[in-house]
Amino acid sequence: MLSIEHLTKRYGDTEAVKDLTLELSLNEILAIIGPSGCGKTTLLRLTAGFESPDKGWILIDGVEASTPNHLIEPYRRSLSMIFQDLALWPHMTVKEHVEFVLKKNKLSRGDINLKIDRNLEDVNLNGYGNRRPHELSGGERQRLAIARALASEPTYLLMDEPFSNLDSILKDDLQELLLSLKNHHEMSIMYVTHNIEEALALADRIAVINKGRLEQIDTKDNILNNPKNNFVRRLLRIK
Amino acid sequence: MKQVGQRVEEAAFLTTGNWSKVMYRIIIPLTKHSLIAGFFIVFILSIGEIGTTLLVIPPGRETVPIKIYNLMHYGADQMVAALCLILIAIILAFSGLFLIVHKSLNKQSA
Repeated sequence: MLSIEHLTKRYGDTEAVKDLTLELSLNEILAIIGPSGCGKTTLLRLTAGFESPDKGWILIDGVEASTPNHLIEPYRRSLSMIFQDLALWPHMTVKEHVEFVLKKNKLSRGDINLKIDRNLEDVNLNGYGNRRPHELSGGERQRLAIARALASEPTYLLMDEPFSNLDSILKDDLQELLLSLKNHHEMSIMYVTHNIEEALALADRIAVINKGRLEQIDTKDNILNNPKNNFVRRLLRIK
Repeated sequence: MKQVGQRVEEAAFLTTGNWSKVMYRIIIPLTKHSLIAGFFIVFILSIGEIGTTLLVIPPGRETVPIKIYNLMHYGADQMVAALCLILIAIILAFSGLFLIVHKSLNKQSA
């Protein structure tokens, strides 16, 4: 389980995240939803360990991963992240993207090749191994970002609005793919978005954030039936 | 190196945790053209540099531009012309080398 407790992060006088507490259970998809600039991405970066909190702490599987004085390095957190702009490596082929991640584990050449094939098969990219990102379509690039993130077999996957620039058909296909991969790999996903349809399609629970503060966190049905305040009602378009 | 982008670096560091590997496999390949162009521009500017060299050079030593400067003072025009030609030849040789390296890098990344 990933627990975030009383997390606060300041940039100068601005508090990007304020006293935020939430939990991500095993094999759960938690959608973090809020307007632009509400601190969603900062929350993901704090969880990944790219930033240290000013107050509060993050526990990953019971281990203190982030406190104001102590930070476990991002690569030691058994998590992966898919960035909003995907952050693919333009000079590397599809295969090399996955290989770069797998080489950390000091596997034999044969095992690496086997894992690359399996990984690309998982996201329907087999046959694309020698292409570079600029030779892929938008959806294929998204799938490559997912393949790279899953190559390290993470327990937690952080996603920062990865499907925001895609058409609705492609988005539906990728959401379906993501759900099947989640069940297959048994991982928990923290999915940041400002799109309510995406949150409803994917999430088990939804956390609504406004100006760095947690407004409400609950299951989809509960939050839709009992919005805590007017902000949640407006954001989730509940009449 | 800032051109590479923070996310691209972070994506690599998140998966490997090894800064030297990130540098060698991600940052240098993505910036190699800029690095070589930067090296070449600095080389061209440095080879003809005279002001700072005059201030820091120890007695009894000379660089080619200082030699040219001194010879001009004594009116040895033929020597000046010869040294200038040598200097131009060196710069052209390095320009050629730069173009060859640049072309081969372009072929690799195509």
